Amino acid sequence: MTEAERFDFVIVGSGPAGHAAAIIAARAGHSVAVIERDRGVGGACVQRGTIPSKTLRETAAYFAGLKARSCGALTAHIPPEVQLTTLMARMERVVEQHSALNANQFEQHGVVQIHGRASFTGPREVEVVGVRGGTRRLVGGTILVAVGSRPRTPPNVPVDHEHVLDSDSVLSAMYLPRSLAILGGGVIAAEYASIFAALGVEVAMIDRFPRPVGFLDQELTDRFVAHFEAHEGCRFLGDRKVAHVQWDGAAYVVTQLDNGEIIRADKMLCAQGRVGNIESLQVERAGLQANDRGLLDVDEHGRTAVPHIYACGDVIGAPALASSSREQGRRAVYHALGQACPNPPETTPIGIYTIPEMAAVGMTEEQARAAHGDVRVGRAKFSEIARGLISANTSGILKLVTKTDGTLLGAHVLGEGATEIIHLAQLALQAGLGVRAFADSVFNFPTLAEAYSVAADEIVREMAEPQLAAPATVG
Amino acid sequence: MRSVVTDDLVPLCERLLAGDEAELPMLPTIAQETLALCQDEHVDAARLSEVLHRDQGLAGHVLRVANSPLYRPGVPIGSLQQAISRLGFRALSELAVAVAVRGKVFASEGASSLAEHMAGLWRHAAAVGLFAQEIARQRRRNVESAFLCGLLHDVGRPVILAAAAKEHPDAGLPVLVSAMDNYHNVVGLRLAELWQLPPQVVASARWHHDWSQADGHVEAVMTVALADRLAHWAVPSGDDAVTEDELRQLPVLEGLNLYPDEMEALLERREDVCEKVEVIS
Repeated sequence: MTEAERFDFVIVGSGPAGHAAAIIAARAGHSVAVIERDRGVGGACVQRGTIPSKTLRETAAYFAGLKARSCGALTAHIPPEVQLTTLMARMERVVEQHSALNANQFEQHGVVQIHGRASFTGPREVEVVGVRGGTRRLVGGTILVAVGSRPRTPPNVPVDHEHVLDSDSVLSAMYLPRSLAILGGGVIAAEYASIFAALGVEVAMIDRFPRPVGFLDQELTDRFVAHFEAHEGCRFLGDRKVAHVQWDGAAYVVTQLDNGEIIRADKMLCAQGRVGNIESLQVERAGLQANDRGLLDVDEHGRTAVPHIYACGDVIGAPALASSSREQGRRAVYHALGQACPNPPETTPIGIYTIPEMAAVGMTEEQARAAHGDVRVGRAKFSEIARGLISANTSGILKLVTKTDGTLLGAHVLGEGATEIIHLAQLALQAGLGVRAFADSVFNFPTLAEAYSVAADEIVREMAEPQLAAPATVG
Repeated sequence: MRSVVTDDLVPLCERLLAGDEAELPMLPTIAQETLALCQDEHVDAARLSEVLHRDQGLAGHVLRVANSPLYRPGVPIGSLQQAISRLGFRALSELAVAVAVRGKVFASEGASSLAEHMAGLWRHAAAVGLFAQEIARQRRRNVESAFLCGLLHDVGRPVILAAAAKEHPDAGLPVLVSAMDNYHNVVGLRLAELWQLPPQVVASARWHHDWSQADGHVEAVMTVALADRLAHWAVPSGDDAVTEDELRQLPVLEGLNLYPDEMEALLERREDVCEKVEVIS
């Protein structure tokens, strides 16, 4: 048997959670090994999820933006023979370069990278089997499980990767379908629904909840649904359950809903949640057990039932976003090191790459009212912002939620650029700034950031500020 | 003697490469139309049936395959339209393309040894297509394009073989095969260009022998590279046979990130693939 290699931190998985954890631990002077079962560094985020889908999104957003910016003078039609791969021709290079950047960061921090599939042999030891055989044994002072997830296949949905796809296989489809049924109303479902809608595909989004991406502020999701349904043939079918899905053997995937409705589409994308990649990890050998959703339970620090084993990222469940996973990874390492983690988790932003984008940080209006009673809300429509008008980005909105004294509690943005401008609110929350910081600041003109001034101004006016001193009279 | 004949074949291969379209077979019209139909947003089963009916030989062959135990129809399928509704539009289109390509590109009118060799090439091509689908499914990738990439990965081979046999009917099979080995890749690429095949099919044809050099559609190329070796193992012909142990050591497994248990699952598909190859041969 090979001799075990010892590390302060053994991290299983190199996605956003594992990557952030590894860099922080290494920066603190600890020995770190990261085990990745995929060929490149980055996990599903880089290889199959976030990066690839955003590459297609970029094409779709420009495609839709061309028509909007030229008021319909310029239109583009995607011929049926155009392959999906040609719409994301840069994807392979983007994935490769991003993966290489991550690997390079590991190298610079002295993180040992191991390609293979890990399984626990005991609470402190992990065995790694390489793709071409061969094993290594690693012993970790702290072990962090960040193995990510894969699409869940519900028992009543026959995913065959040909007619009925999941989020892993949808991007390798050959041609754009004419119509697409999407099961689910979460982040992945909403992103793909809006991307394919922008590319001219008739999309039916079917979900058991009344609105998609339910954890976001309702005002944002209502606007998102309105924008999505403005595309010809696109519908959001909420409050529906799927009774039966079948490929009719000829042309359509036929979905029967519990209310008797029948939806026919060329293809189906099943996006009904994800399951943790923990089967081969044999967590029971470490004294752990997966919960009934196939995920690992952790406390607020990311610690499992075994004190030196932490878990973070998709493997602990929602929201399963790259940003939240990174936050969980760093939080776990700080806790393991006995240090306080700078910035509370509530200030981690959420970015949803729909068309248009949605982003949020802090409390929704509903959460704020539940926690603080009276709150103030300020809004800025992008149709009232010069940059929004110039870029025909007029369906957007920025919404600020504050305490009655103007202390910022949350910010919510819908519109192109939302995932970028949300960071202003994130920093304001972290710095404990009030809404006045926005009202009294001058931003570049024309920019979408101006929306902060407009929304903040609405709240400031409502707060019945004392009038500015009258200008001194001369003479 | 052999070298003289081989030298004689060079001008033929050069002509093929020079783009003399008269020397290269066209993609069978029906295959071309079937491929186009797959991409037509207004197509229906009746239209596909109409196209396939234009070639009675092809229609008959498709019906024979549709009635084979492979597709387990339950009750006999009597019409193409019925076959389309049972097997599915895509499956039947794929089958029709395969049968049409076989009839046109893999056909041989020469000596029995040549016909036998050509049949072997066809069985290999079909097995590569079918294994490519299995690999794609195993890796949770879309299986749509995998079959075509595999089926046409070495389409230059039968083309050179047929052209060389026609121009040099007295040349022995070993000489013809030698010419084929030397030129099949470049001629296959020329053909892919002429037929306007999808880019991943072209990339697979170009790089499957040297997958690490592929500069695009790398996953498709690696998939075909592995499918090619699996096909040599499952449907051996000549001296290209591959052992299971050799398969387990292939570097492309690392490229595709296939772990030993996943490779074993692929090896277990051998019987099914062989059964399908026989059905469409």
